[in-house]
Amino acid sequence: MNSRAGAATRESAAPAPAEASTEPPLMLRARGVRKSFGPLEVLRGIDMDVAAGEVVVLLGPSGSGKSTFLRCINHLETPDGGSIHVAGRLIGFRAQGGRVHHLRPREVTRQRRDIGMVFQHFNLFPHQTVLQNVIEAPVGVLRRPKAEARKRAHGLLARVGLSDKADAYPRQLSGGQQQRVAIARALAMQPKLMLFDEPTSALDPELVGEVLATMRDLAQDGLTMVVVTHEISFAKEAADRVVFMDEGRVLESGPPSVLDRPSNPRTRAFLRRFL
Amino acid sequence: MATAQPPGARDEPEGGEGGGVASAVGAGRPEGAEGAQAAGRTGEEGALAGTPASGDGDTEPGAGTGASTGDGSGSGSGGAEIDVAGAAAVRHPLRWLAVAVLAVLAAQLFHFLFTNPNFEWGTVGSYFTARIIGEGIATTIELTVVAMLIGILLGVLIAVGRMSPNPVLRAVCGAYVWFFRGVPVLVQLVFWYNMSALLPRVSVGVPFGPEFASGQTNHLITPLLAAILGLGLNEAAYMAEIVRGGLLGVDPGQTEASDALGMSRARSLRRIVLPQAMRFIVPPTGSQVINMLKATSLVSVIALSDLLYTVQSIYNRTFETVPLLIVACLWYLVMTSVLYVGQSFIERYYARGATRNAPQSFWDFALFRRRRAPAGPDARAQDTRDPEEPA
Ligand SMILES: Nc1ncnc2c1ncn2[C@@H]1O[C@H](COP(=O)(O)OP(=O)(O)O)[C@@H](O)[C@H]1O
Ligand SMILES: [Mg+2]
Repeated sequence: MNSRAGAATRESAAPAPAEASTEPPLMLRARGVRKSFGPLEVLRGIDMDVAAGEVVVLLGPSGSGKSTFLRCINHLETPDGGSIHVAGRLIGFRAQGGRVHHLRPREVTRQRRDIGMVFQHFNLFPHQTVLQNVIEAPVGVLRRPKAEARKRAHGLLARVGLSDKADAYPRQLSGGQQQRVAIARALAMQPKLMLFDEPTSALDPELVGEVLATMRDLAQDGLTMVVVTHEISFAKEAADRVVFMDEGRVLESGPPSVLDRPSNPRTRAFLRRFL
Repeated sequence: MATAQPPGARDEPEGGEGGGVASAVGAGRPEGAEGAQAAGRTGEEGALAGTPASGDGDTEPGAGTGASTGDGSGSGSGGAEIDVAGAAAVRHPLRWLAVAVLAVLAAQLFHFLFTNPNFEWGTVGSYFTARIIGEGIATTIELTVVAMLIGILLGVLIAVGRMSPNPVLRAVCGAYVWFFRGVPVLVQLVFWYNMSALLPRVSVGVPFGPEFASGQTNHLITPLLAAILGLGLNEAAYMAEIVRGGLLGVDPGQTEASDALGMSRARSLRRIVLPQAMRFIVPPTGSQVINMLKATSLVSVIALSDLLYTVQSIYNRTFETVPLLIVACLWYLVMTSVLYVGQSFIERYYARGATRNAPQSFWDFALFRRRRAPAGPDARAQDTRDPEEPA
């Protein structure tokens, strides 16, 4: 463990010299992230900083590359250029002797433990109960003792308001309940950074509120979050900062008050649809 | 369109009912000119009653079709409410005709079976439970089990290899499937059996270098091993395709979720993807077991005493060919029947929640049983959403 932590700081020292030491420490630092699918340029140089404890809401029209950017952060997609650091560690690559190398799959897998992700379609494991879903990774990946993992899982389920559903199967739950289980499952890994990709877009309108309330609680508890959502109300209430993306670029970014008077005409046009 | 609706139906329930019945009869018959006229008359009455809907209902002879819709709305809105409880079942006279035909054919078959002396049923009976036949059955079962185990284990590995990100592994596994599916299993069996002709000695050592151990191929590859290799390696190619299909059937979001949780590829396969793929893998694997049981009879060509080879070796001596072949047939049927029953249990288990009501079985039909309740408590639990929702 110790030598690994040492290696991590050495790695991060090279590409992130000055910013890494500013306070509060940066949890996410993306610079010039580029990604294409064949001829389609989806990300054209994304810069983004997220401080520890900060909640950033990512807005933008469909197809603007928001999901792709989130998936680059935990290396579900391999970026074509630029760099992403999470908690000071370069994600997916290793800078060594002036050259950059791809990490082995096993090393990428290890890096993902610190980054939680919540999906639009929940992606719960349907063959496992709620409790099994939540303890699967802590027990299987982090090698936590089962009893301890179970105790923590019950605590997390209480936190998302589902104490009584531990033994239910995902199919027996409503969409809102499933998404809250998915949040508990991600939190069980004690991630440093949580990514939410349109967590309420697949829900019936009356179920959106319970998921947003859970996320608001997490934000208040100081979890670092990057949230892609179309829920402007959530951005206004819970975000420290909002970032607008369009066609693979960041158009505008600032405190939630920019939602009321955006300066970029395209941001204005996008927001008008939600008013 | 609105032409032939018996408009009286809406305004005057009594008249409408009468018209409705008349037109229903007409619509039911292909040569329903009469009925159509009847319907037309009803329409006329309606028109006289002052409904604005249609004056031309009476002039069109083809009003029969329209009349049938008029019938539905007429009887539905007028008079007492309909209650579908206790409705008479649809009759299937053709099915009973088919049963009658089959019964005659079956009677003929039984007549043939029991009156033809060449069947030598007495001989069949005496061999059916003979000890030597039992040994042949044991070999057949043993071969089936071992070859299937090899097929399943190797098949899973090959399926995973074919979906690996490693291109070399993908190519090797693809070539395996191509080869073993492309060569008839009978040829493979004979080939393994004759391996010593190709490779008189086998040895373990450094390629082109020193040898650590070696032996005669003939001693190493016994008929039993040749049979196991031939059947098992061939089966692995088919199982690989079945498993691969199952893995592809699992929502890719499941892999993504396990990736995002930091699971290794192997772990996510074992814990998340494979268990879900079982739903697609188990039913065809059941058919493979049944096929394998029958395919083991091919090993009689390499003189391995399975069920078929055992009866062959007996009738080569005694010339009781037909009764001994019948003994083999009966035993194969017994074994496959047991497997069919097992398979249907397994399929029902893995189809839980996939369908709501199973099609009526033959026995339900034959024994006049009503269709069973659509879903057991288990199936229902899968559909139920919990209404209680802590806000
Ligand atoms: N794996 C992929 N292969 C090809 N094109 C993709 C892939 N993933 C995303 N895209 C394309 O990239 C663009 C951006 O997608 P995405 O990041 O999902 O946008 P957003 O989440 O903002 O709606 C879309 O045009 C989409 O079709
Ligand atoms: Mg998206």
